[in-house]
Amino acid sequence: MNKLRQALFTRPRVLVLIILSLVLGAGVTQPIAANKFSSIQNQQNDKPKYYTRTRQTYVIPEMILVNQHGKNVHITELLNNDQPVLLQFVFTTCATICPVLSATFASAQQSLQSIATNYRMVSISIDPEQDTSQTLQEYANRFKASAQWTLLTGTRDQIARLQRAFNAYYPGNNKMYHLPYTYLRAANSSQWVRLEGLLSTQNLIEEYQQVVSHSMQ
Amino acid sequence: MNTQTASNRFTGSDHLPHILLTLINMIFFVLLTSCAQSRPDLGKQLYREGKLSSGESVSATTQGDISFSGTQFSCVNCHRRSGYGSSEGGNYVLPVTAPSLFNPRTLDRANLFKKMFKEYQPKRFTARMHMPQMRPAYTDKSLARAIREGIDSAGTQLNPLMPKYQLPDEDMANLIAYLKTLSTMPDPGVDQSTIYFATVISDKIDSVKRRAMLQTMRKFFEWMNRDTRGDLRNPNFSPHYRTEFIKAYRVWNLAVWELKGDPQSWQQQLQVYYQQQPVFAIISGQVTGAWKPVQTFCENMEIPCLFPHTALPEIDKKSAYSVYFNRGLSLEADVIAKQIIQQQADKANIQITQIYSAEQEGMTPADAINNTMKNNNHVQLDNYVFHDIAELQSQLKKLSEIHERPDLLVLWPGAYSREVLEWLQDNPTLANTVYLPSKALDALPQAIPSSLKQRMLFSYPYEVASVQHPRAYRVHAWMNSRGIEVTDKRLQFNTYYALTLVQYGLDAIVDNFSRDYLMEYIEHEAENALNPGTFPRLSLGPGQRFASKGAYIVKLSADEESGVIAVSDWIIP
Repeated sequence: MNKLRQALFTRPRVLVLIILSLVLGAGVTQPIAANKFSSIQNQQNDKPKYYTRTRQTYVIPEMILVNQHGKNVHITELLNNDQPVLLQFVFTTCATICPVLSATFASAQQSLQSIATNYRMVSISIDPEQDTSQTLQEYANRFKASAQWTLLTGTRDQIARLQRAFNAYYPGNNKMYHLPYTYLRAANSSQWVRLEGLLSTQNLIEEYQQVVSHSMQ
Repeated sequence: MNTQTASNRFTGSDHLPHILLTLINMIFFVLLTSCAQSRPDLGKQLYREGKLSSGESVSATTQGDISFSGTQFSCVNCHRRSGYGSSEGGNYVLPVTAPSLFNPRTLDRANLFKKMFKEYQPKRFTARMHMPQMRPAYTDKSLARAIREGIDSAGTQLNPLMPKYQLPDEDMANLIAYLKTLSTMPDPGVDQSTIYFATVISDKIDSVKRRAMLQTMRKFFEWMNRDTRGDLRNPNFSPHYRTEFIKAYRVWNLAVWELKGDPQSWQQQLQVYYQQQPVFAIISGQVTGAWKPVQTFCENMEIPCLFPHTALPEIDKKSAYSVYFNRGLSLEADVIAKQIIQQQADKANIQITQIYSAEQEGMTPADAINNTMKNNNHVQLDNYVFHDIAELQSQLKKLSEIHERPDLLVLWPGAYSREVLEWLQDNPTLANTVYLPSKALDALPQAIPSSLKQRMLFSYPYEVASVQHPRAYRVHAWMNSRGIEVTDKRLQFNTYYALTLVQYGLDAIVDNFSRDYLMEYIEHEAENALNPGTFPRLSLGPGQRFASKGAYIVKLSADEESGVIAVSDWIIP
């Protein structure tokens, strides 16, 4: 012990090395921790939550998709701008999870307005051959989508590229195995919050609040 | 003291207790009779459409705080028509058939096998599948609690995805009465040893096409049954898990239902065949003209009608039992219309001349073109119809005599492909561009003048020959090794696709012989790797009826061998 103390104080280089390694170590582990699945279920909140959250950076490929009104939309213009974005992958004939995903959007529309008014909701069809813009319009009507909610379709290749960009491609080349993801992004940010699982309206509002307030700091 | 009082009451001359008892009895009686009157038919309506007996939509809450009303979250969405539940997006939806609800949960690995080992699911799902979560049989009371409060018969909280429904007592009783009837017994067409299928073929079908389809089917059945015999011969030899599935093995039996004469009599003919031997499903099939009579029969009898070879399918959003490769000629017409509008976008005036046969094969696509173009102010569309060759020739002659050559000619020759193409051969410069349906490619004359070749375009709702799908080779090998003559590749490969989908579907439903369950499997798995390369992609989803959604526009290649070349992207109208 004395030898150690002696070494630390008599050889400042050792001390410097130890401090340096501690600082560097923390620097390395922090982003890893941020990317790791942090199960929300264990947090102090009163109700259990059934989703996981990660922070990600995505590079969105440039492409032109078609919205529910049949108009062309540049995806990067839609997603990389000064509006906060909420994004999901769905398809209109999906019976189990997509209605819930979209219903979360639908029921949060009003409340999100009071947090940051100019948000953009985006639902991208992963069954683009079936979901024509007309079909998407019908789907939007079913969920009483406001003008701030854009639904998109395109070619199969485009959608597959986009799903890969968001690390949301389903396995087995079968859309029936797609997973429920919701992506949130603050205005002018390249960082996305990726939520995996089904959310309640309150979950979505809280997550959105956090994303938006984080960006304002 | 108390005992004394009590005994006094019952022995005393006061009649009040008797009246009370009678009243209580009456209330019970009323309650019992009202229960007995619960209406499973209204329960079915609630299950499938989310509609209460009052006619209003059911209201519920999912994920804790998402409230809704209406059909979007009716029981059928997740638990499906069969009641066997589903698995999607890492969520396992429990079965709600009568045998599963009203019995304690039993663990049957065969039923869970596909979900446990064969699906691409996240770890969370696999973990869930390994959690038995046993529960006692539901009673009416505990089932009502599950539906209203999301707590199962063991007192366990159900997944928040399961909505909590606000149901009046009467509707709850109706729903439970319906659930007591849901998938209680196997559907007709299957017994302890055999599962019965049929295919439908009408007279006047080309003998080569007939033989191509039937030979493929018969060989498939023969080899399925050989495998089954082999497995059943030694049922206890199961190094892995086969013994668990022995209960599901059935010999496949194929009936060929030949339809004769007037299509209006087909439904009755089908009925007679069905009465002789009910079938579990109708696979493939070819008829002249529209498929509608067969579809109507299938929908009425609730029989799956799987992938017939038809250019005239019945397009009906409510259909629950018919699935097709594509929308046939109406799809081809929509694709041609879209191509014309895109190609001529810069023109202020688009002149189209459409000539069509008065048969359904001519009228259906011609109507589709008319429908698409009617609201387009830039399009001027002239229609000519013909009933026979003479009229066709006079129409074409009239056209060739018009001083100004039509720019765009759309032809729907119906049964007169050969005659139309011969006329075009003699009048190659009849129009600047001639659009024809894919079927006309089968009737191409030997030598087509190049002046005509470069003017002809075809809608082509198939994969182009330049693309090789990985499974095509395997299917070809299967046919070769079984001595099947491949005379009509597309027809035979498509037949094979339908058969393999049924085979995999039956594997998945194990011995739960429900036609609805088979349909649900087919919707779920159509886009797995079974596409034999005849279409760029085959995929369905809940409620989808057409597996391939688009078409190319193709031209004939300059040399004779390479067939057709796509001149457009895959167009989805």
